[in-house]
Amino acid sequence: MRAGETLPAPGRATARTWSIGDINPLLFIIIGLYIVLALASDRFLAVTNQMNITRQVSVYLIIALGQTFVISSRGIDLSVGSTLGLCAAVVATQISDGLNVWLAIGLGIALGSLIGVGNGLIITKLQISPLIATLGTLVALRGATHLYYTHLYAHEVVSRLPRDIVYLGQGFVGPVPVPAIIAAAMCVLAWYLFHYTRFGSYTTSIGSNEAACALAGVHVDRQKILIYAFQGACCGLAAAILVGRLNGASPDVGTGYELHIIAAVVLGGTALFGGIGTMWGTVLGILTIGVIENGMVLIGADFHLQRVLIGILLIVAVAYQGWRRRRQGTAERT
Amino acid sequence: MSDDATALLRVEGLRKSFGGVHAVDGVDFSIARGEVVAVVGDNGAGKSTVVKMIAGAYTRDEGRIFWEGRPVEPQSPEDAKDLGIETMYQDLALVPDLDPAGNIFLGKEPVRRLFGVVPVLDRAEMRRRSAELLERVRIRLPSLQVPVRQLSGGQRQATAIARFLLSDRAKLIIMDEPTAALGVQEQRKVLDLIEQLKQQGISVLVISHNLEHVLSVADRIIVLRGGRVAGVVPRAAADRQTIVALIVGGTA
Ligand SMILES: Nc1ncnc2c1ncn2[C@@H]1O[C@H](COP(=O)(O)OP(=O)(O)O)[C@@H](O)[C@H]1O
Ligand SMILES: [Mg+2]
Repeated sequence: MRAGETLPAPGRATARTWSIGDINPLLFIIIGLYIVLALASDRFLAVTNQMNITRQVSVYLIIALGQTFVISSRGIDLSVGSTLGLCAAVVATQISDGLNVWLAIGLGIALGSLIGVGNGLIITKLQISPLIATLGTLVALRGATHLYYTHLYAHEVVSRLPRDIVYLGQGFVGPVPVPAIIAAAMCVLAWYLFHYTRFGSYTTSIGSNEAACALAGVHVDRQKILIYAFQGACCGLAAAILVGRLNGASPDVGTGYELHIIAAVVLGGTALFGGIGTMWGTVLGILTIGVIENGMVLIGADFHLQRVLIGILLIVAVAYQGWRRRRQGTAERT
Repeated sequence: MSDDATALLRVEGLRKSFGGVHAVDGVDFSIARGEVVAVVGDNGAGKSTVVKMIAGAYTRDEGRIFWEGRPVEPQSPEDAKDLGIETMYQDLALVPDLDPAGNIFLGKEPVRRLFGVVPVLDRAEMRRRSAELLERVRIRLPSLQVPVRQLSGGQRQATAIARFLLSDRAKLIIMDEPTAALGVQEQRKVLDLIEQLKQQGISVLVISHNLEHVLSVADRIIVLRGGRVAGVVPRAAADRQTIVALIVGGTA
């Protein structure tokens, strides 16, 4: 470019050409699954079964929305299952002891947020990697949950809860399950925060180049703590719904959820090493797993087959994403 | 030349060590308003470290910094920006997965209210103003909506430059090796830009390896060697041999 050259509209954005590759490939996989499962089982497409799927995925989805923020920021939260477990314990026992249902739900969300703040503080102030920090809280919180039941509540399980909390987990509005409505509302909130606010923009930017963010005056530590707090709040809300669905709780509630959720987020297209995230992809990731689980039960396949399928799908999806990003990184470079 | 009364920035006895390494070992200099000062020196001479202490990215071990005659303590890049010091780093400090408009406005994103209530990032405004700023630099980007990881070195440079033009408060712009990653024509543009900034009364502190560039834009050249000032050469007295001799030391 020469100094005196006349420039046609400098800096003007030229529209990026749209390609079929921009569609999340999980969408095709879900469509494929629907076709196969509809042919394999006449119950699969029934409204009740479809609504059942939305109810089953709601708890996972709410937590996965938070995890999308965490992973986009180049973090990870392994403690979500244990956070869910402790929040469920507190919500269920407090309701069982007569606390107002709505206050108990608020308490669950507050406790979840507080645990998230704790994770965030350990990661930012003690400068411990998110993997180790949340592995620690995963173990510690599960232990704390058992202690809570045996020493503070003196029962190992809670059951037969009031109508309001059961409605939250099992109720319907028309044909639509209440948990699905709450999950949908959370999707809107997360999608808005992620794509339309500074909070969301800083989340992926920190995941992409934390040092550049700090230099630009972004409060990186505060942002990270807020991200883990949001993840914790999601766990608290999910715990209340799960308590309602189970009409009770036990110390092992939520065990192993972290793997399911992280798999769904990464399957959806969020980069495990941060910088790139997609809420829509997370929704598709959760749905894919939900549809596989539901379908395998309907067609009477061995339970363990679904785990084989999900594992293979995860590897294929990540390989595809990596291939596509490498190709873009060079082909579109000028 | 700047004397103490008119200096925009003056540093005295700056020191910083990393472990046992005395990266900067007692550095004094000053910069006047609208002056272009170049810092040259061998690899590891301490150039980047000096600049980072002024920019608030490193805290200094010792020394004083005066800004417009007053002692200041830039503890963070934000503090430095508040004073009017903008810095462009060697690695450009861009977010690779963010588009140029997002990078230009990083940390200063405008927000509008949807339906008068819901705050949302004003991306249209960011793109509009980014286009204006890039026009001032006269560099064209293929798109303001692709991640900067997909841009060339020169295009990233343009993004970084537009970034500090955004702040009208900038009184001193610090550039660490701004021409290092560029093609010849794009290097020329950066030198033009430095000239332009000077015309607007903005001071520039530029680190460069390229003596030809330095001799063409700098009013004064500060030579660092082993964390100390080996010499300060005004443009009038500057020639290649003198500066090279100061850089390598020995016979000067
Ligand atoms: N963050 C750091 N940690 C440890 N040593 C550093 C750091 N930054 C610079 N140094 C050391 O300080 C000295 C000066 O470095 P630097 O200021 O980057 O030199 P220059 O920019 O002139 O090449 C070098 O010996 C370098 O290795
Ligand atoms: Mg350097």
